[in-house]
Amino acid sequence: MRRAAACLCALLAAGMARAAPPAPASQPASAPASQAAPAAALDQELAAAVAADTADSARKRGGGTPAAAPPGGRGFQSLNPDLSVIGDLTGGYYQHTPRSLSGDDPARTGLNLQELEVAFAAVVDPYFRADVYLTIPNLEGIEVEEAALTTLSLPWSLQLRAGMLRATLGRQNSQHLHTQDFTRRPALNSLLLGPDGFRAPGAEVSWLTPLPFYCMLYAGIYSVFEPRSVGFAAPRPTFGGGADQDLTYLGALKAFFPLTERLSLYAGGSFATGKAPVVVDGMAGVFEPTVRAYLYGGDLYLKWAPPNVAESFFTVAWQTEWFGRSLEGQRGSGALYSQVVMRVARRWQLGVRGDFLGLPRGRFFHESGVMLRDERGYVATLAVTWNLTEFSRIRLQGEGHFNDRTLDGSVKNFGVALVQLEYSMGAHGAHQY
Amino acid sequence: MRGFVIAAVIAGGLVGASRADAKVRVVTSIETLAALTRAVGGELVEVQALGKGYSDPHFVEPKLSLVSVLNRADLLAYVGLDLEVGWLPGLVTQSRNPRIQPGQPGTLDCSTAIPVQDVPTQKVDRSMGDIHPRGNPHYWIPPDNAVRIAQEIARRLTLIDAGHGAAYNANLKQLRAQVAARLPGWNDLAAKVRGQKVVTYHKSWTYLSSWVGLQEVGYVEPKPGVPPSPQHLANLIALMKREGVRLVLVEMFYSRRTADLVANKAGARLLSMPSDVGAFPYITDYFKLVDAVLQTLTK
Repeated sequence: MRRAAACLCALLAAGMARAAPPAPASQPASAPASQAAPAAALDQELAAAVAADTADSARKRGGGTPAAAPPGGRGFQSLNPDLSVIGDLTGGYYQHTPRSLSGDDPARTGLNLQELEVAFAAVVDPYFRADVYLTIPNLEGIEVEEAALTTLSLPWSLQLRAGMLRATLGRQNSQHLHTQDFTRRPALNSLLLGPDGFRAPGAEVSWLTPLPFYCMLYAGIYSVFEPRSVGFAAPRPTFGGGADQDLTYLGALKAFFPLTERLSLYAGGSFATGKAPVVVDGMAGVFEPTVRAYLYGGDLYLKWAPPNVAESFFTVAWQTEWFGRSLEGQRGSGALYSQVVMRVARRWQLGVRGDFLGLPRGRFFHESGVMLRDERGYVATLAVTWNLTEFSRIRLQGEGHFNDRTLDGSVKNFGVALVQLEYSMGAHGAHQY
Repeated sequence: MRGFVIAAVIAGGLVGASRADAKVRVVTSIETLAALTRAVGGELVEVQALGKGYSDPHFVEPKLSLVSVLNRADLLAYVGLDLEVGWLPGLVTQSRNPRIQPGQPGTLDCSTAIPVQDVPTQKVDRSMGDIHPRGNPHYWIPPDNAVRIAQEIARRLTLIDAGHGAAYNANLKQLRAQVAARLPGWNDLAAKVRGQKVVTYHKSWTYLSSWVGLQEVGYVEPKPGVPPSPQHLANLIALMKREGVRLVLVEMFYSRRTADLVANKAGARLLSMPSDVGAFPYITDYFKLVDAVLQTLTK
């Protein structure tokens, strides 16, 4: 795996070396299609002359390169980043609190400031753009949800993202709370991907393949900083164990097929491997050493939307993800969710989701004093969303949990009711598919 | 893994090689910009529009197949003034195409070519609806603006493909001449409705109204992007009766139900208007678009 990472880095380095610096506004960005026979010798001579000039002016100026001019345009110009703030106030009633709460789920019965997100986005220079998302989930301290630097000028349809990232692992993991169709993330998020999904400092390179349809390959390395050892009551994290140099590796493939003008299919497969944390439980006399963990899954997104959405605003999308986990020397476990979300009018959206925990049966938790138990549970969720505008919405959500684990360790049937008020201020980022 | 790397390098090489004799690939956000690019670029360009002329350009579905289209583009021409802010920027970043990233010669904000109207003069906020803080982006129908856009496209094509600069300029001259030849006829049609008071669904006909001489007295949307309340519609109908408004204009991609009701109650006529090339199958170029707009207004 390390050799693979080294190969990838070498490929990337070669690409960056070949990446021509973006042309100034007075010159063509690429070789003209009609003049596609520039002599290689002339290219080399020009490159050498430009390099010499650059070095010479840098020496005269005392180093540094001039900043690129901003694109033309009128009106107010600012080099400040785009800023937005998104708040989620959620009232909730948990008949019992499920043990599968994710970090950005409303934490308890009562009123919760479920999450406050502050986002900064800007093109840094001709080579990078940066997107920084700071969040405060449940008023429990500020977190860096993402701080991603993304390349803009790598050749060969490559792109590198580096920083604190939500990994490209399935579909919902890389989405922020406000782009979710439900108030809470599906249970597999905390049970298999991590307490707040799979997000960690790392680097991810992606390649848009030159196939006649959209097909993207991803490879990433991460330093997952989950607890080095796990005690009671928490879902067992998949990654984060071992020494500091034990990285977690990720690979993914995603493909998009426009089946008809109205119907599209987006499908993906993901795989990650790294070291699992140690499990220590003195009361139960259990000690599980660090082992290698494997996480694998697939996701499907089938959407029907007319090209002229404005006519009726009706769209319907089916989304399903399954993830399985294997820990060296132990039986695997897995979970799946499947959801259908319908936009039935300009302002109204209905969603129904089913979570299936234990496909295959396996362990998600370590529980003190009790024999470890293979889980098999279900969650049914219904959500109704009223979008007042694109910038505020109210969502009602009801959940039925069947044979599900609660925080006190028991297995019960119980209900959850949530009402969420979400608002968004500032720059309106582009929607992702 | 080694196989994968080798395959990647070979594929990259093949892609590079296949560009040797290709036309300049231009991608536009709307079909009118594609039509103007075809007029200026002729056989030297290959043009594709991301949005359809019969759909709302604010809400194009950001399908990932569009990423592949943008990945191969030499030039991206878009309307700007935040018309496409909800869907285009993300696709451009994902395209992994250095040529069309912000600030590059391969990206053309066509609004920089025209005199922008409805630029807010006060502090704006979202209580005013989904407004465009840098001005009204629905500017491509009036002939003056279309020629300015075409000129900017020709300049940019010349920058990217200098070897054919003379051809682009010749095509631009021809387009200008065609517009000049059609202008008297269009102005005659426009004269038939000059001075008429109208209500429009969205504030998207400002530039047309300025050219043709329509007086916009109200809007079905109380604020841009905000659906009307019954109270707003009642007030609008009363206003229309008071002002003697006889026409309600609505883009053909909006639902007609509300606008129909308003027109009926106010004794006005509802006109379902094309606003882009491709709005109807017979609108295949810019000239047919202007013909269709003026004929709909005057019939």
